[in-house]
Amino acid sequence: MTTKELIAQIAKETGMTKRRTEELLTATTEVIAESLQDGKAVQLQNFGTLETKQRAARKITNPKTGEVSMSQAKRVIGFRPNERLKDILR
Amino acid sequence: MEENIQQKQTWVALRHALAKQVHCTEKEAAVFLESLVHQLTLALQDNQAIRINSLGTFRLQAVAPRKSVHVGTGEAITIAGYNKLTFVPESSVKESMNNTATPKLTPETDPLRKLGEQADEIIGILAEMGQTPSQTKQPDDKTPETPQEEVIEQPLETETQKIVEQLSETEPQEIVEQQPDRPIAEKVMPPKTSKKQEKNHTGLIILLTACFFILLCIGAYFFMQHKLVAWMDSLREKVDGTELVATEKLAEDEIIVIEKSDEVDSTESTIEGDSSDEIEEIVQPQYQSFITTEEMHADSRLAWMAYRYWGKKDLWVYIYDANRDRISNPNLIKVGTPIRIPRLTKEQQDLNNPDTQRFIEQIQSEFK
Repeated sequence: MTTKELIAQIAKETGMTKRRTEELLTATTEVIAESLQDGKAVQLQNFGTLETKQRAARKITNPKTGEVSMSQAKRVIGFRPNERLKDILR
Repeated sequence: MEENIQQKQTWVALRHALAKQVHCTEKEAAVFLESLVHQLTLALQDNQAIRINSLGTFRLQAVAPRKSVHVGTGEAITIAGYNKLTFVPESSVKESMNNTATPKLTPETDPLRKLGEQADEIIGILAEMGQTPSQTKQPDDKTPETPQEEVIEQPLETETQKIVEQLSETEPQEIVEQQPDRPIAEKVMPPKTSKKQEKNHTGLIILLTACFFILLCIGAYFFMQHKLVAWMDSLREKVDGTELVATEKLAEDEIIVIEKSDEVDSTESTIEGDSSDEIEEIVQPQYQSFITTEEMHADSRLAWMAYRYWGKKDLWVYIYDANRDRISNPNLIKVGTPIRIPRLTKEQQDLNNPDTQRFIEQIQSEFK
């Protein structure tokens, strides 16, 4: 499902216009991204939680050359689904 | 442990932030979020991957069933397969996570943002109470601005004071810089006035030269007047001389005729005898030749003729005497009468000569 199809489905369900729905979806993504950048996890009710994890620096090996190097520490985004959603999708 | 420490953007907070972002009611935001989750769930149930722009892709990943061993009994069991929900963030979001160059301020570190969030909460409460956000927007917009204005006004005042001070410092410099410009302007001005003065000077020079030439011409006229008159007289004399040459021939012919007549008269007088004795005593002048013959004009006078030829008016009597045959009365001469001018001897021209004096008295006595 693309973003356009998602907007159309939401608009159809809520009765909002597609433009308004698009504005709300864009704002939602911005709020989620900002929250993640701020280091906050975003909990979506009955769906799951988007959170960030700190990935430590580690040794990595290039399989072609066998060269070993150090990867930098970084934050990664992870998603942990809600148990209810898990049961639904299971 | 990290999960416990990590703060969570709760559902209410997310709804509140969304309402603030889009300027809508929290109710509308809640409806949207519930619909979003519902549509995502439905799509995932249909085993569809859902791609959301600038966020990422939710995708179900099937985990195949696998064999395992029960730890307690040691029996071989099969773990059933299931669908694992995964999320792949977009690269822009990934990069933003590790972009430490511009760390964003948290509400704790950014007081203005905290105030803004508080204002948004007030807006949401008022919206729930039934007021339109547009009505409450104006005071709420002001509330976060007031601390900003207070914070910004001070540096502005200080900046303005600095600018005023700089201007006050720079003004005297400008005045000092402008002062030397004034003399330059004054120096530039004189050429304009000098051009006018030059024009006036040229006009005066032209007038003076004109006056000088006029005076010079007048002086030259007066200086040369006598010479010019003399030159004109000489020219007239030359012209008269040429006429005389022409007239003398005629006069000589006439004299010949007169002499012949005189001879006849003399013969007649000799025949008459003694009656002409008294006339001989008076001494009648004898005219050998004539200078010229002039025609009598309205303004001609015998005295002036005598003055012109001999310089003496009293000698007019000789002219009259030479023209007795044509002039009956010297005071009444017809215009156009030819007047012969006799050639007088020196004795005749001398007024002190008694013969001349006697002759003049005789003629004058006749017409007194």
